[in-house]
Amino acid sequence: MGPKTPPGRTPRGRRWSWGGARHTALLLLGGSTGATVLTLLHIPAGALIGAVLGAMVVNGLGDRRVARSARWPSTVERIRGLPGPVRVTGQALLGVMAGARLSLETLQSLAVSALPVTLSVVLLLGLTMVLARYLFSRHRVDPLTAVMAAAPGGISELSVAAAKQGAAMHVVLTVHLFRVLVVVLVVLPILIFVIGH
Amino acid sequence: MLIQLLILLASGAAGSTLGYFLRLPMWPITGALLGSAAANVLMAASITMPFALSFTAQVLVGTAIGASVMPGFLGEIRKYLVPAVAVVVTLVAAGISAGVLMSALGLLGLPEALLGMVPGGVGEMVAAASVLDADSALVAGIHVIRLLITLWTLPLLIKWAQTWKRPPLPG
Repeated sequence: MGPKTPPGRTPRGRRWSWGGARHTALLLLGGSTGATVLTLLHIPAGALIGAVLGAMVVNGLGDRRVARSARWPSTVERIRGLPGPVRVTGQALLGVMAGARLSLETLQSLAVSALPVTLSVVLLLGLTMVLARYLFSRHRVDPLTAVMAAAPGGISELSVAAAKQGAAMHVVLTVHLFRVLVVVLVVLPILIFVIGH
Repeated sequence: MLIQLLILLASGAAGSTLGYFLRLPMWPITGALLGSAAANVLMAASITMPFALSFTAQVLVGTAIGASVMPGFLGEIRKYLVPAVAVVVTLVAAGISAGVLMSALGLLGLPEALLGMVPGGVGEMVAAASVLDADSALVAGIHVIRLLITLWTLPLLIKWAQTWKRPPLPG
């Protein structure tokens, strides 16, 4: 039904290879180029959005090149995706920047908003169950997959939990990756525009 | 200044490593945040982060998202377009509403409330907060609360969902 490696997922147990390293370098080059172009064009959050688009273009071009060379799909899977340490490094840098500006005021705001945030998340989880019920009854998705797909969690945490429990990974990851792409490419520019004005 | 920056980066790396072993949720961000915050307090420093660092972080996080669009994604999304749109629009609209309400009640600033409550990826929303010069530590904190509650309650929600009975097919 779905591809062997679910979309949005870097294949596990991938061995290091020159092809993989070259593809990683190409992805980073594509991401940097996209980020630079959109930053120079003064697009809000241009670095983030440009990097997403640049890497998607490189992945798409790689697709066609591999398809023309008529290699086995396993080769395509081996060279796809970005190694985990690259993503982790980016996230850790963001953590350092956030930590450098952590102040008493931040902690006070977090303490004041903790209860309302918790209530909002509980409401969001209520909505998750309504959406899961909709996926279950209208689209005949099994209950476990439906809850995992509609949950407002992070892709990596949920995919680990979904894989452990035997959910249909391709459905869970497709919905979550779609959510992140919509938020970054559509919602974020609108929010930045609204907040900026 | 450069030495202080290097100390912050080293503390962030140490915090991330510790976060990994302690299994903190979103350990690369939360661990680095706690590590660099501790170093910042000890040094009593006020460091302005260089643009290159923020740019690099956004490139790495953005490239990781773009690279995760694997072969077959467009085909899969075509198959599940209606349910995926329903899920995403509902969750995002609910997140935005909660953010606007919290800002209107004076609990949080508008940028922090919106970026904190919209259920995008944690890294992406923290990156956007740093672009807007909003309090990215606060945004990260809100997302950690969301992730923790979601992961803690998921087993219960799944158990509940597994009691659902499918109506028999007509005919």
